[in-house]
Amino acid sequence: MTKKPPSRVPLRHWLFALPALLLVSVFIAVPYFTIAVMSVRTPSNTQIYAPGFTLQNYIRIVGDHLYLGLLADTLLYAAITAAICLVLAYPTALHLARTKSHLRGFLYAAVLSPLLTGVVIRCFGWIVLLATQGLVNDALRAVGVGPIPFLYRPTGVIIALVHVFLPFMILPIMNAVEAIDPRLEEAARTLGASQVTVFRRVILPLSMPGVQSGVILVFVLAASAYVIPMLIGGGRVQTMVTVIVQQLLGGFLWPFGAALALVLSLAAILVLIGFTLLTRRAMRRLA
Amino acid sequence: MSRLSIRKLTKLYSETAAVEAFDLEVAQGEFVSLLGPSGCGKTTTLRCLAGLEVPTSGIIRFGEREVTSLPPEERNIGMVFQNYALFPHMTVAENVAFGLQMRGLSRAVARAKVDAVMDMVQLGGFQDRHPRQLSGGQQQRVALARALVIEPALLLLDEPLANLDAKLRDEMRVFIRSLQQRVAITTLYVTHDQAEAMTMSDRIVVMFAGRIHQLGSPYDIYFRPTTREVAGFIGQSNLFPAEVIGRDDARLVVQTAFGRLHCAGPADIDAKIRAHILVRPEAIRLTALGNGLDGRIIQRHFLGNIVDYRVMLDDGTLVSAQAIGDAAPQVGERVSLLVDESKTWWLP
Amino acid sequence: MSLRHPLLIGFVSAVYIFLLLPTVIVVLTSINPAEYLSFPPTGFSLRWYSAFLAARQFTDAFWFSTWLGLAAAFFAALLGTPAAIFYVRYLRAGREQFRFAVLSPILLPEVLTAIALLFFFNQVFGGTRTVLPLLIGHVVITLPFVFLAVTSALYNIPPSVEEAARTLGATPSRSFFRITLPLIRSGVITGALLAFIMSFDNVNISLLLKPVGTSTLPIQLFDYLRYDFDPTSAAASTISVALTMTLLIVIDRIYGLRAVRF
Repeated sequence: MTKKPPSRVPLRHWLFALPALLLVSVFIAVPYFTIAVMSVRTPSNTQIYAPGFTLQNYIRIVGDHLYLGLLADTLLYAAITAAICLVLAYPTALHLARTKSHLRGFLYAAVLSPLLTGVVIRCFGWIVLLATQGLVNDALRAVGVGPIPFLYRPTGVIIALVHVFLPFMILPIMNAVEAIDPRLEEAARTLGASQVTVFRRVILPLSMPGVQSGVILVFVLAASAYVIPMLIGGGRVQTMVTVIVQQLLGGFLWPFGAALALVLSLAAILVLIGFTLLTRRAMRRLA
Repeated sequence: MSRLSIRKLTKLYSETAAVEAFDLEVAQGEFVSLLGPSGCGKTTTLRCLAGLEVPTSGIIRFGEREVTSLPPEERNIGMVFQNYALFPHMTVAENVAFGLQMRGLSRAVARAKVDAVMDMVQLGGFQDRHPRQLSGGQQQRVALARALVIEPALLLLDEPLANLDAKLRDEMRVFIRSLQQRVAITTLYVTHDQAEAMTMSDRIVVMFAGRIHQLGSPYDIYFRPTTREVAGFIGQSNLFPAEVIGRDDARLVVQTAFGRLHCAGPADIDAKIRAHILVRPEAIRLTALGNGLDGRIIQRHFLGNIVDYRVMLDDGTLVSAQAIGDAAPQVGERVSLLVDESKTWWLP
Repeated sequence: MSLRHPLLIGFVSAVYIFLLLPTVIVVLTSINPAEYLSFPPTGFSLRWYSAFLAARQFTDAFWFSTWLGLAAAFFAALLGTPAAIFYVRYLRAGREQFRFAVLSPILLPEVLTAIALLFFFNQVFGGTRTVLPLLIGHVVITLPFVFLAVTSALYNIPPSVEEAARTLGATPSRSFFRITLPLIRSGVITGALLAFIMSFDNVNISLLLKPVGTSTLPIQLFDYLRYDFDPTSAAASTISVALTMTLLIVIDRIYGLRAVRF
């Protein structure tokens, strides 16, 4: 069949897309640009910003152990969250993708429904569970283990982060495994491969794109989380994002907050680029 | 509508011609097939007739009316698509009535016409079903009903039987053709299946790479192909080199490996030119060794009423031959091949 | 792949419990007569629901979230549906870029988008004194869901159906209104419901863009939970969960949950 080259789209058809495109360009592209601009403005204590442009915000961040430590903590929590999510999600996603049980619809809903429950509500549940008087500690006390402080500690925050973002790891991996033709596995078996080998040589490599997507997604979500550290951390666990938002809501140092946001974004992007490059090499070796 | 007239229809995509210099005149009530392999331009031509594509150049006339740049809704055509394209959110009756609604008919009048055409396609009583409740063959008949009920000037069918299984295809072929003859509607039918084209059409247009190679009756296409592509596309063929050495009344005298033969050919060939003769497998006879061109049987397929043979001649040529049902020669035997010269045809 | 291995089943079951436990706990807390949840539960009580209905801040916030969600869903559907039609039916070159642009609000970190909008509205619109910036923020963040749902519906339309309508005498606009629109209706509704849910549950955008003196339900809960523990919040939360779960079931009935693909 002769392939049709792209023909010019008549102008009147672009009107369909215009409102949405306008919305995105005016209310996404431009505002993001203003973050960059804001980050090089002079901070002020009495208004959003003072006149003039400066790099002092960035200099202050890079030179201060406090902010660098904060950055490191934030990225560390995000990485730990992604790692734990991966461990929990992979078998779950594998099972969900391949199971023929009639519960499959329910299980899919079970993965999806937390996403449609507000994050505040889910944190609420963790507060009840993880409090010193909470259910988890009650259970631990029953087996003789002393109460473990989860709330107001990174431990509790990470537990909640893992819980909230787990579906975002399950779904991409599930999609990737579903996309693997079951006949590939069957072919491998008929060629003499054991179940373990089939997993190692067929499923694992082919599921890697899903793993990659999931890790990147969860990492970004965890690094940019606000509600979870605030509620579970109770003000005692600080991340870059909680500090930034407090700057913006509580005070006037918006340029400084903007600079913090850009530094966090840049650092996260660098980490993800590194991760992508590493896994690309690992993927090639697996194949 | 009187005649459908297509003059020099050309459709270019960037630099490539999907259809080039297509000429065709179709009489009222005629059934013409556009036949050819994938990509030959037959569907593009059909879509230009429907108004779903705009030709780069050329003129299309329905009778006196020039329709070349008219949009589909103004052409008064009926079209049947390969995947039926029934409206999933409407009942069968609503589907069939759709074209009548577009033409402003009242509900009552439309309903009567719908019932009549549903009976005609033997689906009376299916009016309130939904497309998803129907089998492939039933959906195809609904699509046909929908196209016919509006009494269009032209009926266009784009490989309508391609998605049906073999037996259903055979039945539907007969069904569509008899329906078309009953209604006497001018019909253009696109297919890559030569059996369909041969059994259904008054005339066939054979296309390759955007151009018409031959326009003629099924008999002409089979026995008098004008090009080697046409000969190769329809049925099986054997081509042997031949040199024209003269004429003998209506027939050409040619020199071939089988010796001097009289073969049929176009009237305007008489010079001493090298070409080929076309010999269909049924015109080749297997005899005892020494009576013709010698070779060895390398394949034998028993098909019930006939036997297909592949014979490797001593000079290396592979020949297809056919014999009646209980023919004796087996694989590995050496035989001689004879040609029935009354069934040969000259090819460039 | 032996999916019935007890270790796998056990592990996966634990994960599902882990996923659902917190929400279940909140629901249990809301019907627990005592202030602190203990196991086994001490009884059943609806007192926290009465407290919720009596608490102006919560009920006001609930209605505000509802109206905001309806408005956001409406505008998201209004803008997202034509964009989806454009993408599937008309756009030929630059498809990846267009898709990325329309989906960017959910691809970018929400808190960053909220910050960006905060800066933008304060410098361009003169601040967030009215509800308009909040509404715009919610529309921006929910439009991609409508886009995804409607494109999915469009891809499910059998091919050639619109062409068939044209050959039967329908003008392009009649074909659009009689054939295309009815066939994508379920997709539009699904998208709108998803948009409502996402708007109703939203925290980051609401936190930074809401005018002083207003509050959405999630923000109200957030404020409460930061300083105090009160099972009235549990009642409010359960009502919120019940609402979104009901809508999820509606989506499943109309279109099937598989439509919710990110």
